[in-house]
Amino acid sequence: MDRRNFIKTSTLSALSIKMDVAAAAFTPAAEKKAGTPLSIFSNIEQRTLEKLGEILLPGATEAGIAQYIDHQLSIDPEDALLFLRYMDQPLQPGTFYRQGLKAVNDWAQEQHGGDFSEVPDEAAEQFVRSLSREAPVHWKGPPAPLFYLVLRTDVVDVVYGTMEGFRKLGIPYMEHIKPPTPW
Amino acid sequence: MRVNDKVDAVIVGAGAAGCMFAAKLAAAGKSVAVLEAGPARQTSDLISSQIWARRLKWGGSPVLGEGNTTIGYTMNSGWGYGGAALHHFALWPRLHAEDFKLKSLYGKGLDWPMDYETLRPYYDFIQTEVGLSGDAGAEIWRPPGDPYPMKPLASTPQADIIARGFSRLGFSTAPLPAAINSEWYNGRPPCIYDGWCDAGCPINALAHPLAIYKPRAEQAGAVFRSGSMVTRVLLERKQQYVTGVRFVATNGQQYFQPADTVILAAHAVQNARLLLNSSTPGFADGLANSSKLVGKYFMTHFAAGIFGLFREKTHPYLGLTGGHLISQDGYVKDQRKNGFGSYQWVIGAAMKPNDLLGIANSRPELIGNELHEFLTRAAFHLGTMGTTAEVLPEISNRIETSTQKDRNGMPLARVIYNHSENTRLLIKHCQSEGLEIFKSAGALQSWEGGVGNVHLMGGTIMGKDPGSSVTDEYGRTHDVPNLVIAGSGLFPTCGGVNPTFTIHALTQRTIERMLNNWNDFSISSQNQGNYP
Repeated sequence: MDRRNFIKTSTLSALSIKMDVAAAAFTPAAEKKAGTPLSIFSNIEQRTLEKLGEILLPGATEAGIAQYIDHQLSIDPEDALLFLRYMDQPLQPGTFYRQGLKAVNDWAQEQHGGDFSEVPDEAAEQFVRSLSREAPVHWKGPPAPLFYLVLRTDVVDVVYGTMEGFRKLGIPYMEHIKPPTPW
Repeated sequence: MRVNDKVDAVIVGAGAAGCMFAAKLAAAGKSVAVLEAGPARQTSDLISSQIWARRLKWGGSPVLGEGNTTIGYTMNSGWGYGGAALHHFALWPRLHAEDFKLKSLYGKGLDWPMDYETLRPYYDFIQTEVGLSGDAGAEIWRPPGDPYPMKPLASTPQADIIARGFSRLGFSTAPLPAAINSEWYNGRPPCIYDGWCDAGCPINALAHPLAIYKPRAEQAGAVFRSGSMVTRVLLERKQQYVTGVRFVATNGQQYFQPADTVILAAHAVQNARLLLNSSTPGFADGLANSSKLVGKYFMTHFAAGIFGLFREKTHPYLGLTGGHLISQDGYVKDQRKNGFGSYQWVIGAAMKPNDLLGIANSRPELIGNELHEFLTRAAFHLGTMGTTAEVLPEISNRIETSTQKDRNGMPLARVIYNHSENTRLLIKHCQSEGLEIFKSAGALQSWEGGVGNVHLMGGTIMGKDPGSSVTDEYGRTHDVPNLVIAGSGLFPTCGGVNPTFTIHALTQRTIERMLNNWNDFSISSQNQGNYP
């Protein structure tokens, strides 16, 4: 076959596409559904994280964004799979998330007199968009644009970065070695 | 502190250079110990997932950053057997002749202590020994060299669509020169174009250390030891030569590994950190640092990304993570008014939905349902290309040690790194050219991605003059004859190409020199005490 025609004329069925979803039994979504308690985050932190997740990518809560990050923070840092690992920032991962979530709730208290999970959706979305550009006034968390980037990448991980996520997008996973669990 | 049996050579770091040294020294009958800070890995650990692939990136103590740009240390480094080369994309272009003579030809940067013709036979040797795919004739910019031993890799719809833009503007493209099999080669299978290169290639179609040199090293008797963080290189009492290294195992136990030769192959930053942490009264500024240049002239390439949506299906999830075509029309360093330096475009990289280089992060401002909609469309219609572009060596870009320490009491590395005005101008030029190419290719919408730093180089540069370099042309330190540095930290300049092929060529040259002149590189320390 001519080099430049490779793949162009092929169909996906020509590739070995194995979309084994058996691993879905041990997913953040399954843990969310089972109501497995979190080991790192408090209830208010979980609610804040899930509200942020829903704004960044609807479906993040069901996909288990809180369970995903909580689990990764509870294991040996060397084995943790969080995107934050790439950011070379000086804070411990747990501190990074907890300081960020606290700063979000401090803003909610100051601006709306309640937890972030209670802030009206439109205002909450506007706030999240602002984080991508600069830190709000009185922000005491990690650099706001970094916090935004990390959380946004986390929600894409759980919603679309797994075999189930690829299936939702309709693209083949084509694994050499299947992940033993999604994360 | 426990003392291990003495070996002929101890190698710090089990990445590309370390595994190659181990394989060839052991095959020549030398006793070899390889100490790797990260975990043991095998190809069966290379799980196809951008999430799981993060385990392959640096997992040791943090590297502190300072300056107007971040170096992306973790992303650009490795952790465990295979090092950074375990997740590298296997783009193996050669440096060009002018890259070796930047100072002489242009009055900028530095010169290498050798020219291209000196290194060329080693490029030719390695490309046959490892196996490269490509089309030498189509690379009209390629310096002289043997043709590739394998036919080019297949192209993809994405690469071909973007190539239209190059062609319409009068630019050239060529198949990627890659250390990835396009056919069976030395018992290793061809690539199947599934886009998981960044997660490590478990079928060994991509020439990472676990596919090539580490198995050879073990077969020849080299001993690999994971979880072994080297904290100091030790000298004999007269402080004229090294006697071995001190390392800490994961359980906290300290060891002394005596050796006649010490080879530092722990990547640019950690090599410099180790030398700076090995100071003694005789080497107050750090070991092998009489030039005061250990840590200096640290470099990266900058990677400027261009993205676009096309009417046709590009299937960006297929192919090679490193792309399928290159163009080096931008390699002539002084051809433009603003922005001196060389660059290449790497065209049509495979992208998965998530992760730093994934589809979603091509539009980091999108959230909510807009992000869903973008991903749904972009998963089939996105195209991308990026630069590997030269950053000139500057003495102010440097690796130092911090006052902060890791759990072993070793000072953390601190990297001070700034993009110069020249680099900023070259970035602007590349972005502008890239958008023009995408427009010409027919992109319905195109945009600039972020600018990142890739490939860690310099910091222990080689040179002829002991006053202006850390090592000689073989990586042997000017100050200590049996201490050798390996890898991209030796580069005095970085050109506009990926470094791994050059690392292999330099390593091959040094190994041949060492084996033919062993006593010049090796001093028996059997009866010497260690210092301090």
